[in-house]
Amino acid sequence: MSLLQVERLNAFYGDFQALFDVSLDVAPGTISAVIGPNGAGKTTLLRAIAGGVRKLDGAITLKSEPLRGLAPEAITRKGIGLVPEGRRLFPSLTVRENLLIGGSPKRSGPWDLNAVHDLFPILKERGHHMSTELSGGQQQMVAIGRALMTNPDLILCDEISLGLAPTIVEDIYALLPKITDNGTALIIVEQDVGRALRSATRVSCLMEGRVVLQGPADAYSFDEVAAAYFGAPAA
Amino acid sequence: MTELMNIAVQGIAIGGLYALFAAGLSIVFGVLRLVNLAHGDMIILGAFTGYVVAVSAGMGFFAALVIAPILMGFVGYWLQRLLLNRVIGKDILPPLLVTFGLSMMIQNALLLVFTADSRKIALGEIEVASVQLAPGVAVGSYGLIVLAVAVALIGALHLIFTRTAIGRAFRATADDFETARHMGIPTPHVFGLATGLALMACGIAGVLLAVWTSFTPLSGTARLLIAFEVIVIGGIGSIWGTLIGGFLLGLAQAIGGAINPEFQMLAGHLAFLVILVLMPGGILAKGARA
Ligand SMILES: Nc1ncnc2c1ncn2[C@@H]1O[C@H](COP(=O)(O)OP(=O)(O)O)[C@@H](O)[C@H]1O
Ligand SMILES: [Mg+2]
Repeated sequence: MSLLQVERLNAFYGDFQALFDVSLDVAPGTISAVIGPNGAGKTTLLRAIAGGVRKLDGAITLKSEPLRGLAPEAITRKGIGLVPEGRRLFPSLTVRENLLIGGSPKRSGPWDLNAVHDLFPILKERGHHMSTELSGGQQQMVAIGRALMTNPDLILCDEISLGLAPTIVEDIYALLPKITDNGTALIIVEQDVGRALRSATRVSCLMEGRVVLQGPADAYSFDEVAAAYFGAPAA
Repeated sequence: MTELMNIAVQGIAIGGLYALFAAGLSIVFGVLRLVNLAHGDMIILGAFTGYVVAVSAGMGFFAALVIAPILMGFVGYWLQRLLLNRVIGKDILPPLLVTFGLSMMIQNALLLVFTADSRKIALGEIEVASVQLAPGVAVGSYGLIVLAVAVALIGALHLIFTRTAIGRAFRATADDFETARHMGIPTPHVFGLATGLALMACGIAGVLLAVWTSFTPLSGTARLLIAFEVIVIGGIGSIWGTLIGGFLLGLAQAIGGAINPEFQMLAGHLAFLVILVLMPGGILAKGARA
């Protein structure tokens, strides 16, 4: 049974339509990749699922419960965590406090401060630093840890590799299975097509607000996806 | 020398009252980024609430000092949830207009119920008693009470903001309200609590003011101005800054008043302008904040 179902979602900013009939299905404990060039609507899709886009039509359901129209905080309480584009840590909070903010919905589950510290030991060491004093990679760990603290069924990760050194990106991706191991699913928005195909079980490619390619990640070669990227029809 | 000491002591005592005036304004601005133009009237509403409890109901000053803030806090929470939450957003004009309207409504409602007569909560002996600090240096014992309450309240607010889960939610919401919601923080409730806390502080300030001096339904505007000057002097968004700002404003007024009683208010405004020009962020500026 699917965890998240998005059906024929249309999203608007005023009169501008950013998503056209986007559908998506996510199974528990899996990684789904959403790829596409800048401005394709990837962030809009994640924000729409998380309740951050006002004007929507279509259906979004989590474990068969409708989410569309709920406030972002209500959607988080239902089990969707967000790692926002650009991380958006709280600058007046310490690392530890940033993580604790994620714990405010008080959902039960395996993730608490200790579990996050086990996953990212550096965050324990740097707990009392301000989040702004950390390196980019460490900040990204805080953003992921903060989302984990909400004990979500699904985490939406918006370009976690943005601006990070490749080795650090590698390290972070290597830890993702530890998150999916206990049933949490991930949707990752990724610019790097190769990495997306390697990490995910399913892939969706967005172009100008439309899904141009969607299916199991191992069904597509890099070249097919690249062709979709540049507007040529996929084989 | 003793005269200088007396001036300083006097300034600091009234500075405590000024810090209390400013605390609520600072909380609402700090968490909601909302300039509450009805803030002064809310202090006066607190004073009248205290008056009703202490005098009309005959329960006395100390009961008023507890009951009025609780009632005000309750009013603040629901005012935020039912009215102000609907108008805060990207545009800064609607909340300004709404709080300006609230200011008018509170003044007129108070005039209707209490008339324009000036009132005061009398405290008997405590009001006239004074405490000898050094030979020739004395402070009114009521001034000491006000100062103690101010330090205690500011200290408590500081602990709430830095040590508790709700304080953490206040700061996160102030930093980035959208992201806070995505982390599951119920911002309408958090805003309600912030305004509730702010109006509790208004209640305390109002009851203490009601003993310090007489007041009428129209006394709020002058208190809004003082509160505003205090948070600009102390540093916008800084809780301890309100105490520092209150002391400085009180001291400036006391010094001005000692030179010539007519200079008292002017000296306060001058101090405000000087600090605004020399240290635009205030004395405890919080650095760059969004
Ligand atoms: N807040 C907004 N208001 C208006 N238009 C927006 C807003 N956010 C994004 N857009 C537009 O929506 C489209 C999709 O943007 P986005 O979802 O950020 O794409 P991506 O994340 O794939 O780069 C772009 O054309 C962008 O300009
Ligand atoms: Mg994006």
